[in-house]
Amino acid sequence: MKKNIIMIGLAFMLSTGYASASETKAGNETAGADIMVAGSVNGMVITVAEANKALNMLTKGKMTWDKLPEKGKKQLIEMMAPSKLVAAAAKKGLTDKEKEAALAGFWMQKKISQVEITDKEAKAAYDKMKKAAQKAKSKKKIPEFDKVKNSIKMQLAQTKVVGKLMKNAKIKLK
Amino acid sequence: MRKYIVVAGLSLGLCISSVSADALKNSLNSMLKEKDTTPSMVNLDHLMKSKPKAVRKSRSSKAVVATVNGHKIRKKEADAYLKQVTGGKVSDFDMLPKKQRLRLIKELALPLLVAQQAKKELSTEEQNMLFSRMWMRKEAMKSKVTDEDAKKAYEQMKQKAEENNATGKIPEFAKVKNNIKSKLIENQIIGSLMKDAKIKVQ
Repeated sequence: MKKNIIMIGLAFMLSTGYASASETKAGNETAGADIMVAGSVNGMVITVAEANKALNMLTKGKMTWDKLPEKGKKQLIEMMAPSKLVAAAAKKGLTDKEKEAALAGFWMQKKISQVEITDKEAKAAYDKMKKAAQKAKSKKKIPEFDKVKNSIKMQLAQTKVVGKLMKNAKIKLK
Repeated sequence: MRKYIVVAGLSLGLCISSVSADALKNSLNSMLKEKDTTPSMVNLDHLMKSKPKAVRKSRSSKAVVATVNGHKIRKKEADAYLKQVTGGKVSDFDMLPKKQRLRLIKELALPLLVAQQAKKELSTEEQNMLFSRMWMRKEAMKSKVTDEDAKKAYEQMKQKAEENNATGKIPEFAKVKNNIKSKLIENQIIGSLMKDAKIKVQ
């Protein structure tokens, strides 16, 4: 079972992490490795540099493409093939809108995670909201600060990200 | 096709809407909206209360009503968005006062701005990885793997583990069912891609 789980993880890693390794310019020790061809899938080249990058991860740096026996080479290329095929299929099979959504969701999460909001800031926002709720005589129970701290922080972070984006945007009504 | 766009948009929608879902926020929503300067919220209260005045003549659906970093937004899009956020009550962008038109455009433009910035900042490698993931999810929705298929695969794995006298505890089917299903779906997708693939080793 454990083995199967490892295999699952591996397949996933391969299907995502190496999706476009051809564009990576890893500072490879072998000169020209990024243009030397290790194999191809439907005509899409897998470079020696990509193969080495994958091998490095799989064998924890113990094996390189040059030292790999023929059988191993074939296995490795076959292992790397799905991610190439998926990347190519994705380029063709997704609409522009879908591509945008894929990028936008990830970027937003990344940006939000990079914004630091202090407990003090979160507390200030909480107090402000609490005060407003009391003023509005809201009947809903106001949750404890500790319980909502993280979601307030996330919301403040998002507001900052969005605010910055809007500030730099040129929006004109016609 | 529309279904996919909705799904695709969902990932962004989720990360935006989920943060504002807490009870405190909800209870204060209307108050906040008054003072909030974040462009991501269109003040619908105002919109509902004030009877839309015919400020000007309604333009054609193809008319460009705004530009966002040079990207044209047509009236059709703005109308559709307005209709969506007002639950079908208001659907003519040109009937809104200027301030609210700007707010609506800002809100409508947010996904576009995010996408533009994401394209600029994310490496090609990251972008391709995200496309791959999204495509896999999209394909997975089409595939039909049943609980029975998963059960069969589970029994096979279980049998193998027992034959090998695996020491680790074998988890209950219910606990791994979804994992097994996604794995089977992934295998199906990858399998069909690999079936006709021409693989060469130098």
